[in-house]
Amino acid sequence: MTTTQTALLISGIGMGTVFLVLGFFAVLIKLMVAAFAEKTATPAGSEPGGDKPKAKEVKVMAGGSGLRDNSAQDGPPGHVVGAISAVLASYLGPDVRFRIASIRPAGGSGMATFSRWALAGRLAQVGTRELFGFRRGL
Amino acid sequence: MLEGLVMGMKLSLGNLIMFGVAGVLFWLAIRKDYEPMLLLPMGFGALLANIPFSSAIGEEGPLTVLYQAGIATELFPVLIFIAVGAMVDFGPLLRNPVMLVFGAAAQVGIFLTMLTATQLGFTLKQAASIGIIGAADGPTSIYVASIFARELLAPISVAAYSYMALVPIIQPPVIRLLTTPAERRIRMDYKDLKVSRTVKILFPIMVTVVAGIVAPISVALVGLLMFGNLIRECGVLERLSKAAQNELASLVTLLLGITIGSTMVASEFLTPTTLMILGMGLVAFVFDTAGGVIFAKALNLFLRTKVNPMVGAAGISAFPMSARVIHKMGMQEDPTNYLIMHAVGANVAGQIGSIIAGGLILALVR
Repeated sequence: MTTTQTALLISGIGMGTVFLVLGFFAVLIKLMVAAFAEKTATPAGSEPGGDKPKAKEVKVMAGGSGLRDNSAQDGPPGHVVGAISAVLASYLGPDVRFRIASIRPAGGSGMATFSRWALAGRLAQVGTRELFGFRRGL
Repeated sequence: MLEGLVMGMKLSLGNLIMFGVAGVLFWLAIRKDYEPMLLLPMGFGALLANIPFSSAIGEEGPLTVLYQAGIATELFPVLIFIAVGAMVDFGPLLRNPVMLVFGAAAQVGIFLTMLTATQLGFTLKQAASIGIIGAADGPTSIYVASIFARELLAPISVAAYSYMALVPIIQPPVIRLLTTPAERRIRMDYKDLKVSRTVKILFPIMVTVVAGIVAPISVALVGLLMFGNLIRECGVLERLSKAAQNELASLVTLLLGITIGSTMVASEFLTPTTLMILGMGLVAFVFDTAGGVIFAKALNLFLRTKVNPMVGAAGISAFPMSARVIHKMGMQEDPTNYLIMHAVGANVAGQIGSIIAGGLILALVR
């Protein structure tokens, strides 16, 4: 066999084996995750067999120039609410929904920006429409 | 002093060019912030090695001693694996193990580049060492090259680390070429599944045993990476985990960089072979990216819930650079499309894929 033929054979076997091994890992991980799933404790306040517990919710109230459209001199619009929520989120974990509210009637632009850069994954779950729904909520 | 001046006059054109190469590495590291932890020590090693009659290299030179102790014995790259393992969080992958198939698909660059290298006249072992640049995994490239083609170690290391740093420049055009804007806007659901500590502890043990049985020669590679990860995840060795992530990683990277740099002697580095290796390294990264994207597109032919094909390109080992690139590209097409968690999952899968591919190359080419 020439060097190229040998390389071709090795490439075929190599790629095939990489797929097999990683595919095997994928199945094994699925099985392990299912077998060792953490049992969630009944949340305080909810009766066994009763209503579903309410989702934890945090209201973030923020105001100031960070929420205004023309706030470039103070930082990006939404930076105040973004910074507060990012810190909160890192402490509270993934199960917490965020209600964002402005103490002033303005704030749409800032919140939209915030949804883009501050807490992308979390707000993706909440949804910007819902986010806007709360903007004058408090 | 006079003797020193006379010796200094013996600078060859090759030495001067290598000073330029060292300068480029400094520029990439300092001004561009491209892999500075490795490229800067490598640049300085090259500088030291190309000063005529340098006492840093040679039979008793400290850098040659380091080379014999750390590279020739494969000790430095293996120690780096412990550090890398301690730094990697396999969580995103454990939450979404399907991403492992992208970690496999993106390894195609390794094998295609190996084939290309054999066509260009390299021996099989040299071709395998060049192909492994496509793993986008510096330590694996160094490990394989130090076993199969020590004479090519310097250009392979430079190529591997340079292209890893250039992922934000290399990947986007390839992805754009292979995908439509509509494909780049595909949204993917993300379930924030909880993974128990038991799974996180069992995972590195399971990978070590399976990979070790499939390719025993990969045990040093995979085993020590997973050892580092076990230290991280076990929860009782926080001090060791931090030491592996910080002190061990810093110290070995420093020594590894300057030692590899010291092998960049003009007479051995300034050859057409080096240029070919640098060219093929780029080809390897392009093949990797294209392989991941095309595989994802092929999967979409059969899937009801489509995958964003850009995520396939994140199946390389350049972590977290590649995931960030994919997320950014997704946001450019649709600012509300968040691909980051999927891309990170594929990227972590690429880290496992590259190391498994490296182990297989070692087993098959031998």
